[in-house]
Amino acid sequence: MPTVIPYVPQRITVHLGVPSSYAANVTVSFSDYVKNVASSEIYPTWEESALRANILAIISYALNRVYTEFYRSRGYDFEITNSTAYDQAFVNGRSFFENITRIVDEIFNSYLRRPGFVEPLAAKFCNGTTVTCEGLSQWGSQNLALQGYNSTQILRNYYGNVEIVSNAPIRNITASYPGTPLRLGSSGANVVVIQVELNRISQNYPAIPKLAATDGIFGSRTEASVRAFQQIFSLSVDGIVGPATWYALVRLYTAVTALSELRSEGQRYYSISWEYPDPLQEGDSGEKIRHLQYMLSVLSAYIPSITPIQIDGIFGPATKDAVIAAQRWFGLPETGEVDDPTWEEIYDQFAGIENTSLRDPEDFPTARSSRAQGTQSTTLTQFPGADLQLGQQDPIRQEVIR
Amino acid sequence: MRATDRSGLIAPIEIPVPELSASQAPDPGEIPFTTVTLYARLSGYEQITVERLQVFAGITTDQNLEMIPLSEFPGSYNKSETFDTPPQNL
Repeated sequence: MPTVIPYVPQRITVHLGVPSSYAANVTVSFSDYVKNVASSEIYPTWEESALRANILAIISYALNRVYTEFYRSRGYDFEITNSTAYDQAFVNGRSFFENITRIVDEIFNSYLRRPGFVEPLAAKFCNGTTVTCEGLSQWGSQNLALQGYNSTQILRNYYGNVEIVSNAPIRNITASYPGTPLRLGSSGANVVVIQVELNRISQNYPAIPKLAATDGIFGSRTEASVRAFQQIFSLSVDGIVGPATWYALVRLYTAVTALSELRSEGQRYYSISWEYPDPLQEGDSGEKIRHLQYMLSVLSAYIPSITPIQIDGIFGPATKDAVIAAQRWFGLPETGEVDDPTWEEIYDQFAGIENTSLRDPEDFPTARSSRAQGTQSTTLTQFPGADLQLGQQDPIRQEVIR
Repeated sequence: MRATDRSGLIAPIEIPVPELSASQAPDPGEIPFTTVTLYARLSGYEQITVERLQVFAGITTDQNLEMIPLSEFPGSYNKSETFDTPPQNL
């Protein structure tokens, strides 16, 4: 989950060999990459719907590698290999087929994902005759196409319930590492990222102390978790998240959530229930207060009369002031208590922000809390998630998967 | 031997290819495409060879090549470039 919103890179660097081999890298535009792979993997004389299904799988697989920083987080200087044992076929300098070129130019910024998950599907495939696998069968897709299946039906046949995202944003590949080390006293969205990663990794590595609050503040508890993580993975134990520790976190997080596998645990924006709870008022505390404070702090970046507040789960005077300011803004009675209409107004406004401006990283203003640096995308409305409960099993679908 | 036009293109060439049915089902006993070797030559530029270029029934194959100028005194190792297209693993 280094960056929240998947994107189509302008260019992609391909290693012409198995990952650790001494081989050349070539950098090509993403659409040329897809044309090359499609021309190298399948026959252009197949049915149009089979070609489309295969091309969507090829795109999704490549975008998953980019999204999870699969090779970059292992210290390699490329996004993907051309070894079919690891990734998909790519033949440097090869010809393209005219009909494949036409389809790719049309759909190169579309990809597959599971409903509710963020990451592009790791859409594995194999030829279906000499090699069979869990994902799409290339000959099988042609066979289904001859029976009149369309591309979506073919994909659902092999991958189950998937949806096609079209018009994904296109931008340059940016490394997720924030550029400066995070250490005791750091704060912001990047700290939330490492806290969420540490918490999830700690489900598999119980020696890492769990963090009760993923609050974006690098305190002594976060430092203790970072140290434990560094000790387990043979990094220098200094409690500072530099590039090595950052990418080790990305690599482990991707591994424990199986984000680069066909059956992944899934990356979600959030799976919090935003439904109206019982009335909330000053003196209350708990998870729902954190949700409320989270929504208010997002709104405060857009509505100047709402003052930014801490997300501490305690309904104190500052939260009350923010609620009153929100009620004034929405034209509701200024009670300072959160009743049904107040919650609904706050939620609607929050959801509206999430649905419109935040989807486009170009338009999204630098958020107060994110300390966004230049091209980095923001995790502003990605709710940091719920606390881990004692006795929790792993993996748990219902649990918040950050 | 064909010369490119001002835009660097040559007119499409038709060649005999296997039947369409050869590529519609696994292992029909024949290779479903014709392979062509392509040589690109221009004095003062690297010589490019494309081996096993595939041509299928009814589909135009596009081969893009970048002609790289040679230095004034080129060594033998950088005078030529070869691209090979292995068959699809189907």
